[in-house]
Amino acid sequence: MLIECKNLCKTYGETIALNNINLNIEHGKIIGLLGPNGSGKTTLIKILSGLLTKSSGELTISGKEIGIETKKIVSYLPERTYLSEWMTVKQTVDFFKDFYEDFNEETAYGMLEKLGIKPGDRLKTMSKGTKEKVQLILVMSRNAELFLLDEPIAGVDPAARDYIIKTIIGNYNENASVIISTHLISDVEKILDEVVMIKYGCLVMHKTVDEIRDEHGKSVDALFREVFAC
Amino acid sequence: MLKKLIKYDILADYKRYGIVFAAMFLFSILLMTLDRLTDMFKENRFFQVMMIICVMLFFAAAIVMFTMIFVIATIRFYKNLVRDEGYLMHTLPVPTWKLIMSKFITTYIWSAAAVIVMGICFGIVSGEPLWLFKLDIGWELLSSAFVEDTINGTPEQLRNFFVVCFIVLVLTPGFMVLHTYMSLALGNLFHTHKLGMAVLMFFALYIAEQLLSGVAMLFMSSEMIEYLTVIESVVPFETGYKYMMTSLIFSIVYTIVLMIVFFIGAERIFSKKLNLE
Repeated sequence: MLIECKNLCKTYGETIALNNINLNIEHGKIIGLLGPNGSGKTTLIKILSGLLTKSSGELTISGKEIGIETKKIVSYLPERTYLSEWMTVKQTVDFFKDFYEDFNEETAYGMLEKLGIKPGDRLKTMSKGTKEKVQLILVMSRNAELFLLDEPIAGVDPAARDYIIKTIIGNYNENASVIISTHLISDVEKILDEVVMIKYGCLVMHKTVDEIRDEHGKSVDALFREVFAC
Repeated sequence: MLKKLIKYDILADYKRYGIVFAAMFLFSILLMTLDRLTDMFKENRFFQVMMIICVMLFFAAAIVMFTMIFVIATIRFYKNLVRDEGYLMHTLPVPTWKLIMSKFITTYIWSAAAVIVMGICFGIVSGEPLWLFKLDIGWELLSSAFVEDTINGTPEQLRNFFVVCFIVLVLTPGFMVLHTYMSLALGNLFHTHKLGMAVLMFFALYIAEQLLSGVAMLFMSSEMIEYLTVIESVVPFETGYKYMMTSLIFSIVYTIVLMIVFFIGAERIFSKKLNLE
């Protein structure tokens, strides 16, 4: 099992962000992490990436407690640009190569070349969209066991969305799993194997996409609208 | 991993520091040239006035350079570990203490570079580029004045005093940055106005440090407190020297303890209570 999560809770003072989450994720799956704003998706991703610590419960990735060892096998894409503006593209590639043993430099340069991004280009001269693409390329150029992608297609044009989805499918190895948190379900539905739905910090559904179609006779997008109807 | 972190911390600011250091060198060459011209044209008021202005500007530039190190260290830490770049830095397979330590060491590297630059600039301005290697002459003069004339001290006392003062000087930039790192870490605990709260925490920590050192003074002898606080107090040299050294050594120990507390405090906060926006 890649992710094992038992009674996971996260509280901020009085506020409960995650409430008794029980979740198991296997290797080799693309999972859609779905839920309305403030449901706890980002909190769960941040705990998995090691940015937040859990309040209680158990959580392991590949049998390891969250820490330095799990950071070596988790590739995380946040919902914002996190690369230093002073860097050139080459320096960001060098940075990833220096800190992640599983980083594949050739894959990164190959993808950058396809987009026409030169290694000498400075990040501070790039548009927000180009920076996001560079970031996605760096994250997906790792041979990680778990990819955590927080809103990877939010705020980008439809053509860029297609590119991002193609990059995700084309670059994760088949033993790895990808967790994609998004509101734009119809755009990613076709690539998902499983769906995890969270509401008010509680897990409300964890099913395969085939199960959803068979049991509910609906698309994931339609089911989401039904489950989270206001 | 620590070396790699330091490498990227240096890469981030080397251009900025390069410009400042180059400006300092140019400034010192300008001063040296003006000094020569003032010597050549002794009656020329213009060169004399220019010389005075440039000396003042040179010292102002030196102060700006040292202040800049502290400001850049603070900005780099804030952007790298508290703001958006923190999403990358805190997910690297690197322990948190190394993230803080790399910034701490980088500050010392730039401080040392600035001291060397100042030393060279001073050599250029004074027309004595190897002045640092002639310090023994100055030391002998100072030592004989300290031993023989009005003070009546021993060479060991003078050397010990300088060693203690040097340690205080070395600790100062480290203490300042760790104080700031701790303030930023505390500010990070708040959900809104993190930077504003960090500024508040900076002053709150300062007040707490002063109160603590005040409490520690209560344990000193009343005579020593009088010596340290009353300017007019007249005590024999030996007693005054002993009190001065005791207070300086206390200040060193106190600074080191606070530095350790701030380092561990910031590390614990970023490890256990990281609260990026």
